[in-house]
Amino acid sequence: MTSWTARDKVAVIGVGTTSFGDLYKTRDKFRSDYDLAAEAFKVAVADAGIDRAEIDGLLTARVPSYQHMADILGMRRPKLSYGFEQAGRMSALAVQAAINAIATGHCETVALVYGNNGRSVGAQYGGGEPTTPTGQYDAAYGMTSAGAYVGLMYERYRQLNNVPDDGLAAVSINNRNHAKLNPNAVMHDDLDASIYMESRFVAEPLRLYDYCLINDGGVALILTSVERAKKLGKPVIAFSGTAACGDLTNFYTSDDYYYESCKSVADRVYQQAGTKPRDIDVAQIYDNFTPTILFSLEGFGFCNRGEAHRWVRDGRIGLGGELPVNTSGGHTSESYMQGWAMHVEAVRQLRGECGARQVKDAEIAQYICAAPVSSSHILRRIA
Amino acid sequence: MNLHEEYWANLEQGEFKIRRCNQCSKWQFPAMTRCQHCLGEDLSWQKPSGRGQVWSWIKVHKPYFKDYADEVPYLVAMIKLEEGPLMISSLTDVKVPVVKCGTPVSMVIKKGRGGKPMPYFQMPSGPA
Repeated sequence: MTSWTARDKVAVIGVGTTSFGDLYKTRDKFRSDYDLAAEAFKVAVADAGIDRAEIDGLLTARVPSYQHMADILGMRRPKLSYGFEQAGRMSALAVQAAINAIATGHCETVALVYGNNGRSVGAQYGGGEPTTPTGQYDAAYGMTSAGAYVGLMYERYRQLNNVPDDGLAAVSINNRNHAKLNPNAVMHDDLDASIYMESRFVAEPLRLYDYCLINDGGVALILTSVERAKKLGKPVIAFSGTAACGDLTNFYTSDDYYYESCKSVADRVYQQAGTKPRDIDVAQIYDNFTPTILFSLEGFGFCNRGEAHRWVRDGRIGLGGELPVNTSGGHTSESYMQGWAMHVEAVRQLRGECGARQVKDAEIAQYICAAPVSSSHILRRIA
Repeated sequence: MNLHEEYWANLEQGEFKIRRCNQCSKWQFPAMTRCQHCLGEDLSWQKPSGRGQVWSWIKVHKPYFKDYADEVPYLVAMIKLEEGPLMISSLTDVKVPVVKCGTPVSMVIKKGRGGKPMPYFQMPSGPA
């Protein structure tokens, strides 16, 4: 196995988010994704307590142009600057790029900024003009949207593992229970098993509450060397491990529900950090659609294959449970910020800033994304 | 014609053909210019057996496409062809409430929305 040499060398020193709940209440066609990213950036710089001029790297995501973003932020000559496509799987990969750049000395302090005005501009995930030739093949049968491709995986998973009809209810309700403790989350209404089961199907077997909430918002992170972070006098949240693995085919659907790629990531990330699943105090698990939480828990070894739907029941993934998952409400109840806000939540948990949803004495957090590129980080409070 | 146009043109002629590598004999779907297995460039259109299995299926309830708005909910299946590739299609004459993953199916060409001939898959007993 190749060895990763950046363990505990890079830290998150600043995090910033816009409002999510308030933005959800109105649509504004003039609301700019760049401006949302800039707002989050400003919050993150203040949170870090550093001078903006000390930032010498800029990575952007979802906003169309990193150049325009840099201009807006007044970052004329960063040593590192490029943009990532809008897919949610890119959030952890952008963070990895920043870690690597800092650990190898390309630059010292990187800002990652993400802006999304998807709700205001009516972003559609499905039904549009197919962007690939084979998207046209699928569209000829009415097949479209990432959710539908995840639905195919879940239907097979459900049948082969004898999962009851309410097999996803526990994860969807868990997200909502946590969102109710998060003042910035979009959804605060009660969600119980009967409301869940009576909700409409979107791509059956997936129901409305299995889907992420498309919203407007911005997120920013500021990373620097641990050496420098220690001089800032705040809790030091370091990356003890990070890894990724593709499962790249013609489809969003993976015929092993991303198991092999998740396992590859898990083997490396736990080895890098010297941890095991049972050491994780809090997990943020990418859930564009709720089945990915089950696939992630199995692929990362929290439970056996085919058993996650049972494992998540009875409060195990709630606050006070064995593994609190998606403490901010996740993508189905906080806001769909494509993994970015989950990174922020991991940091805030380790700093102890989460108020009513705080996991007591959280020291080790894990971010997991099961997708056509699966990824994970292990973050630790080291000082 | 590009490869995708050729795929649809073959169906217009009543033939479901996919690409097969003349060098390593592996099949591919969708059509690409090179073989993913051996990177060979010598591929030809050939008829697969038409047999496969239902890998999984869903019912689309949300009217994503205007053309399909009056058909929701409709069934979409992912088929694993005997030759290996996975493809999206649909099932004809489904008589059971839950299609079992792994059900063997066979290909039939039928007209889809808009009247163009497309491959569909039929359950074991065929249309009753």
